[in-house]
Amino acid sequence: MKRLLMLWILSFPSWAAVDPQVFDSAAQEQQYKSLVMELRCPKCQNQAIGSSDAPIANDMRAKVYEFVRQGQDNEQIIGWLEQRYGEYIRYKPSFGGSTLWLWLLPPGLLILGAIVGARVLTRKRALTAEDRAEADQLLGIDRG
Amino acid sequence: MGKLWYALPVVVALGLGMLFSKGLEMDPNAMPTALADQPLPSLQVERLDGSGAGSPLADVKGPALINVWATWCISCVVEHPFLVQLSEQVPIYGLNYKDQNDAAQQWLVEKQDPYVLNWADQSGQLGLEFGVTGAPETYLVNAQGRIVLRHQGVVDERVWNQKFAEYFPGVTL
Repeated sequence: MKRLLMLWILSFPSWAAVDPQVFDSAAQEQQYKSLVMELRCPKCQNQAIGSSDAPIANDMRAKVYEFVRQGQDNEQIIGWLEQRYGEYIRYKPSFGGSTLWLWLLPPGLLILGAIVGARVLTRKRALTAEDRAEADQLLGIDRG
Repeated sequence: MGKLWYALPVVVALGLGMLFSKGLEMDPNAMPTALADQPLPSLQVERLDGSGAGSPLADVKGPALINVWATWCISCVVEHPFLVQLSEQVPIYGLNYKDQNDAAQQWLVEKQDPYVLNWADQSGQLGLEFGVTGAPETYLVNAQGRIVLRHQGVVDERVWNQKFAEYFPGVTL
């Protein structure tokens, strides 16, 4: 029964997507593994090429593998794919250009919120003599 | 000044609302033509007819179309008659994408051959050079041999008139 369960778990296609590959060094393997999770599959837009079974993702992994084995660095490899597929291919968008607002908007909004919040919280709420008298009455304080 | 601060969230919300409503109209599957104004790939690939290896850079004489197709691609069946009709006036080069050569050759015999020539890209490596995401896709190449635009999906009369016709002034359908 346990074996059957094991077989069933191992037969999931997402596990099957991991191709057996040989690397020259652990660093290369690490580079490959992080790269395929950083690159977005053009056919299945919510998946990285490292977690997709689409044929195009498979081809792209093969290309990344080839480049990693050649000793190319991340920027060269991502650059090669970006030139052909566009900025789209990056799950981690670069800072600048059309993605500048992506990076600047959240902290900008946060700062704006902080300013508005601070102003609201620190605003002076001056009590008029009438307010004070009413409060005193409600609290039962007699200031004589 | 104090009152103005209260208007700010409303303005921000309205702005975001406009941004998101525009986003709803955009096609999430549409990808930009990353290779616009770039020369054609020079990767050598075997031609489908067995006439040796060739590259898009060396083979294509623009203005022309490069059509990515395969026998496993259902939309390509729909597109094919229009390509045949178009090929009387416009040179169309075929990129036979991740296909089997004999099946592809048989397809061209049965359904007519609209292509000047075909590259048999069995591994999909030429597809990667083009930034192909699937089939069918059609690239417009200008007289200088540079990519002008890429269309994803079926090319029919409507798409032709919308995207391609202006680059081929003499062509009448």
